[in-house]
Amino acid sequence: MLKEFRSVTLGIIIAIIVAILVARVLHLTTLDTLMTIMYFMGIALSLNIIMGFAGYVSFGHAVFLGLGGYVYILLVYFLEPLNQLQRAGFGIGALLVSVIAGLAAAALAATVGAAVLRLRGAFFAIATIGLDFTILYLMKAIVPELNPDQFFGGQVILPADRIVDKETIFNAFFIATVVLIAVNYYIRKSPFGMGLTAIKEDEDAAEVLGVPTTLFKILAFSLAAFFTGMIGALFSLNGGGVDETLFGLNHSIDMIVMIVIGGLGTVLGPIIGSLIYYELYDLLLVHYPGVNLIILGVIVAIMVLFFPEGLIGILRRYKIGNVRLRDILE
Amino acid sequence: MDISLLIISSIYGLFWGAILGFAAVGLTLLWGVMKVVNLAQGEMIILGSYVAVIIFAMVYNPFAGAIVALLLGLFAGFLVYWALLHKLVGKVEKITLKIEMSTLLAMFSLSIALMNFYYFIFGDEPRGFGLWNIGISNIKLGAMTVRTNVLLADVLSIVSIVVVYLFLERTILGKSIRAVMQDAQAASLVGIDPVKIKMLTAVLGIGLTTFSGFMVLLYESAVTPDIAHKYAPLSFVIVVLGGLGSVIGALIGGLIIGLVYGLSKGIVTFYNAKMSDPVALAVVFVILIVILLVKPEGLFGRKR
Repeated sequence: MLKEFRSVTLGIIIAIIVAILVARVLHLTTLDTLMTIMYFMGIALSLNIIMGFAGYVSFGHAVFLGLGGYVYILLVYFLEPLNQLQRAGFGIGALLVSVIAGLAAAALAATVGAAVLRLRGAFFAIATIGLDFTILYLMKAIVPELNPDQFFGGQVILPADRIVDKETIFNAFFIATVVLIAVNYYIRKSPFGMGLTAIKEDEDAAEVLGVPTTLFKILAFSLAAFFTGMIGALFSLNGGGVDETLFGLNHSIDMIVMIVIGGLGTVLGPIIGSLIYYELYDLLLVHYPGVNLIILGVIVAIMVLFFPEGLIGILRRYKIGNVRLRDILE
Repeated sequence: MDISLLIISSIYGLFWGAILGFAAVGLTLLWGVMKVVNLAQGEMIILGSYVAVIIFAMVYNPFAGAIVALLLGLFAGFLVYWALLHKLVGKVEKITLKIEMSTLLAMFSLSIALMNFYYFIFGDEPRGFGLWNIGISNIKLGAMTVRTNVLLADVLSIVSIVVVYLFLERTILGKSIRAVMQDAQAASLVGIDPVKIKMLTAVLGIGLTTFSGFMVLLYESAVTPDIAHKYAPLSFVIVVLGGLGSVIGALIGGLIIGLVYGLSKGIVTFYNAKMSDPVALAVVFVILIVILLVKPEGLFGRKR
């Protein structure tokens, strides 16, 4: 009888995807709201690959968000063919260009990131912050040189003929999110995911037992970077431009907080966490403007101190009838 | 390339470096003793700056502000230890990666809350000592002019670092702190209470950090919440460079970072003045990554 319950996770995921689609088709809310939700979901699920599954907390993960954003915006700014491509195919074109941005982010993760992955714990976290600031300041130095009359202080604003309408961006965002959820779900189920979990629990033991730890870590980090870059690209496209704030540590905070609220190392955790975070963010902003993020900080502290497993982690401890929730919630 | 300009740029960098070094002392103590990376380091620094500004507005004496910043920081360290850190690291003898992650996130949440508190109370508006007379005068040193403020901040920073160093080397309490830093388990065998020492380190570390906020304020002339984003990452670089728990390492790390910053800024200015500041900062962070990869124990840290 457990077999039919195992698909509960999948059911919840599909329900959320369908809900987004229904809200889009029936115009239940604005496209911007849906895209913000998918943006939050996307960055949480991306970081989840390295932080949730492999246990490497990357505090500078916003570097891939910013890099993806810059690569995308600069590509369509300077290259007319890519500008044509991003308008084609109801979002497929924009998705393809964002894949280039994602590949740039993945390339950074697979080269510099691979070296940094030799470090563990706090040293890794600090090194990623270093990586973030290195790329941030390099962009700040180089970008204004590309077009001194327009790019003041590294800010790039797309001219009107290079902006894409929101329906197209929504489609690209939607496909990216669905793929990202599928990748998370697959990793959770696959030997690759088990290897990452082994790394999280005890890296030296995993190595001894034959898990190719270095390869797995680099792969996970590059995947996480790839999707973060894509999300950053589409996010910037939707904003009509990019500036250095996309490298800000507050974006890394967003990702980490969502995963912590939802539950580390699960698929549902970041999804549910991002939905809660979005609602919380919205509610606190409406009711307590100004102090909203202070309250958020306190909530995170309470979560870390008393509920380190996150919401899904807590649920997984319980049973309903004779069904253990840990068997059905992934 | 004009060599004398390069030298002047480097000396300015060194002036900044000593202050940076002192701003990182609190971080290196917490990291060394408790393995807690204080991600709210920048927020703690500007806490001191804001307190100094507020007290200055009340009594028109910047040094009173510095003293209050130090005292409030000591108290803040006490609060942070009992509210956040004790539950995570207080009784633990060996800090595992999982605990380390929890402390990172706990300090992270503190930094979110504090940062937004500053925005809520003070906003973006720069606040400083205004027209405090010493603050706007200059001193001529050979070919270069230095603000009195900066010299004052440098002297205070170096004196403070020496005092902290002597405290750690010469007093029983300081030696206990170093003992827990090296081996908490062995320290408890010879009668040192690690919980007490950890609390003391948090009090001292955060107190010194807020005190350094006063020097940062003297150097920067005015404080905005953004200053935290500038100083916190640089503190990480300095601590990694100098070695965890090494106070003199922090000073030398700060001076090296200041020198590298000044030197690269001087060189890049020669080619393209607009690019000089971001490129110099990028070089500094490249150093962080390289040191972490090549010599993760730092220049003056002990190998583990």
